[in-house]
Amino acid sequence: MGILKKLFVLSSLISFHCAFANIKALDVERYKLKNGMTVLLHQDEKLPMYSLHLWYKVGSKDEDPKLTGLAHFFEHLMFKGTKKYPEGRYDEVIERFGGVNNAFTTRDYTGYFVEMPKGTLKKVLELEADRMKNLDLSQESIDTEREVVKEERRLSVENNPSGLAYEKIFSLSYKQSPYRWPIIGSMEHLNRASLEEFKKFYDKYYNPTNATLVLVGSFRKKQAKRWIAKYFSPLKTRFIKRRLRIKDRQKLFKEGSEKAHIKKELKAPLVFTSFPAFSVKKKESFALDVIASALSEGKESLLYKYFVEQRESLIGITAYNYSPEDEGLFMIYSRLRPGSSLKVYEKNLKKKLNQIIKKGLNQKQIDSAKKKIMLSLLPLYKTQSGKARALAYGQVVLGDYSQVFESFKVYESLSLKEINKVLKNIFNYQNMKTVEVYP
Amino acid sequence: MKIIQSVAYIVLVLVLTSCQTSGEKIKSSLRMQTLPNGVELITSEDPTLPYFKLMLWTPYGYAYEYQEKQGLTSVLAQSIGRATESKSKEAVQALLSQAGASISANVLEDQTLFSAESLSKDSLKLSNIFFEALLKPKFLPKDIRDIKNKNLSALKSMEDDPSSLASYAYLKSLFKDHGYSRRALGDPKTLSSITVSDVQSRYEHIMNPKNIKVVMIGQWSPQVETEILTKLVDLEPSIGFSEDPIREIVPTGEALNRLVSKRGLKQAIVYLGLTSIPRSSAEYVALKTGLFVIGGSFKSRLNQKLRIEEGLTYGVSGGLDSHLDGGLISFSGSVRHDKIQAFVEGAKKILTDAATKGIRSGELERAKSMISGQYPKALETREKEALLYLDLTSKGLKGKELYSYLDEVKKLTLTQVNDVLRKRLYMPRVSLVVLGDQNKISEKTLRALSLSNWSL
Repeated sequence: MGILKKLFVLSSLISFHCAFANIKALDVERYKLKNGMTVLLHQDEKLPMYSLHLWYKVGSKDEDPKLTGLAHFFEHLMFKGTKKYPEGRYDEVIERFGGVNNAFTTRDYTGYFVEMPKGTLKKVLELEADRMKNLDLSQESIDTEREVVKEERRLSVENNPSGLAYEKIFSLSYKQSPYRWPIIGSMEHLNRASLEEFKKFYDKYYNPTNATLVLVGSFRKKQAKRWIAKYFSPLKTRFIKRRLRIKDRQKLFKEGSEKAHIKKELKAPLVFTSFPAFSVKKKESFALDVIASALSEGKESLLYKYFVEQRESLIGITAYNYSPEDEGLFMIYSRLRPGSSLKVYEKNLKKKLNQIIKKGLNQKQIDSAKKKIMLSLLPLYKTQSGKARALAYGQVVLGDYSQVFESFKVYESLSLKEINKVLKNIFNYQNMKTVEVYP
Repeated sequence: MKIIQSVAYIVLVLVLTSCQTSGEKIKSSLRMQTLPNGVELITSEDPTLPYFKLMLWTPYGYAYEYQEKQGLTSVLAQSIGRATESKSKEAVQALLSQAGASISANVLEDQTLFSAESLSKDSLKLSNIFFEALLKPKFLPKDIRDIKNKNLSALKSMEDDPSSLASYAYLKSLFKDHGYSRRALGDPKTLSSITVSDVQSRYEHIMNPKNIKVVMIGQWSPQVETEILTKLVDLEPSIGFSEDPIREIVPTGEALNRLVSKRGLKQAIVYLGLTSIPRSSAEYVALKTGLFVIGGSFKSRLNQKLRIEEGLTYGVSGGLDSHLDGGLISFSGSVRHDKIQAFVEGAKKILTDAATKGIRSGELERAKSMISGQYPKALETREKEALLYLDLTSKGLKGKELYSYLDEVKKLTLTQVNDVLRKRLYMPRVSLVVLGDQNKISEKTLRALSLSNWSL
């Protein structure tokens, strides 16, 4: 299960506890500044620290397909300094105060965060507001960072067989969906990205109306609100014209079965298989989480038991429901044992899936899978940063942080019949895509 | 044994001291009990969430297996959760599945940790099957053969992963014959020689109650604790079992410069470093903090120069990693083949500068501030706290260092740190290990860095 889904479910757990175990739900105050920026505040005094997340609703899906990687590249550039705080000053201040910072880019959004000791909030808010509007980009800083991003691409994709296959399965599966290109972008596009393009991107997407600020931890609420107003309210915003969302599944996904081969010197071949799936906002997606867990989570899971324990043809297998804001993919990732036949494995995978579909999952398997999903979410709820991330995810992706509190009920409400109905329909081999990596 | 008798045998109840972080007291959540047979029971209740986590820890990892039986501890660890004296593998796995749990095992250099987690409503179910799997296992020839086959495949597939391969080449170069140079899964040659009787012997050695620590975290019913205590107090000491006597880490006499070639790589992985002090050394905190300035954060000297200013790498980082017998000072990064020389020379210049001139006062203060500022997170959850405690124990410490660490960092003076850096960051012994595609590295680079081919 992906981190996003985990976050989504995690928060639902909170409501479960509220209802059944008399544990307080997260006490969150949400409000909007006049310029459109959303603010979520949750006090949690367990540690003398706070976690601040500032997420922008811009991801790789907002890019021009002819210039991919811009959103992620831009995430790097946000650390390149402003006139007031030139390059290096942001990190210098954060570290001198005893904090750490980082950022991440997804297909749907870009998130920046700091983990700080309490008593440092005013300066951090000033820094974040400053770089939301006053970034000082130069050709030189872009060119240096371009090489860093290219190194990141070599590290995570080109030197990494799984990374290569993961990238390929998206381009093979999607037709018109903006999820078809890689978040990190192609080398060609990274080489081409210009200062002008970045300035346009910054002006368009780095706006208060496109931002959500989440603060979780030790801070004084009144004071925090005053400082947020002081630093963020003066920032001007602008209307963002977004690409029209494609809803027609026939346009989003490529039809037909297709297979790609990546030649790599590997001892253990890799296989990625994908099937068109659903948005995180749809109930079917929750059913797919349960199915993924029943198929490959733990030694008793159906595909693991069959391929790893009984047939001894795989080193490992993972069924994974990728469920972003728009329509996602259901994937099966397998690593073959050296010497095992790809052809035999692929034939057996279909055979085994057909058996599972025919028989359907039983109540015990579903109950066990639901428990595993719950347990996988708990670590996030135990930390300030986990909570901040969950709230930001709910607000930015689901449109309302409180939506995340509903998700447990969705899992609970899923019946055996509903789950087996999704199981029956998901493995449509006519639309199955496969990426194989072997010498 | 009944609970009343069991409890009467508890000879020590200890709550670890609290510590000061960022001016705030953070209380330890761990409660210790030592049973008469030596088993230490560590409990930490968490009323906020309905989970139950069990861990069983032993201070034996893969480092001290006999050379010819490398991989034995991993085979043993994976045998747990299969058949028991009274249940088949299928029955054990079905019971675990009912609790939504599975038993995982983590075999490290100096320790092995078994753990499982369930919702608290399944705590009794989980504790029953967890302890049955761990205390009454049955090692069947078929299971051992299956595990060995799987591990053999996994070992071969590690060659596909450049990061694992580079790390292995580096450890092998620096730790040489010491067990820290090995892989947890062992070696294809030694794996095949492991028998059911080896697994049984290793099990008996590892499960000696004098060495075991059991951790319970989350929420559980009184009945769970009673039953666990009953099972633990009945554990009897096992017959001794000798381990590989090689405990001394022999430093490389001079710097090694090795190239491990792998065809088709798009990027090389570079390691620089040397063997160093164990975790229990009095110099540990000063050296750890000094090296943090060099490679521990975004503003570290290495990252600042090689990534931010020169764009040579996505990231370069490192520092001190210490175990029971010794440790490593390591710095690593990924870099294009045509930039290896620039990367290595740039990094060595920074290391030499730190070793000769030391770090500056402002840098030390920033490092102290970051360590102090972030330390509360290390103890934010009960699992993290327990795992850190166990980790310190595996490294020959008492565990209370967890709570005095910040005071030690705060007390450090610039002179102390720079003295240790001068002494321990001894540049003539800093080795270089590169994993890359030899065809993509120029002769000039090979000569300039004195890189010679080395095969694993």
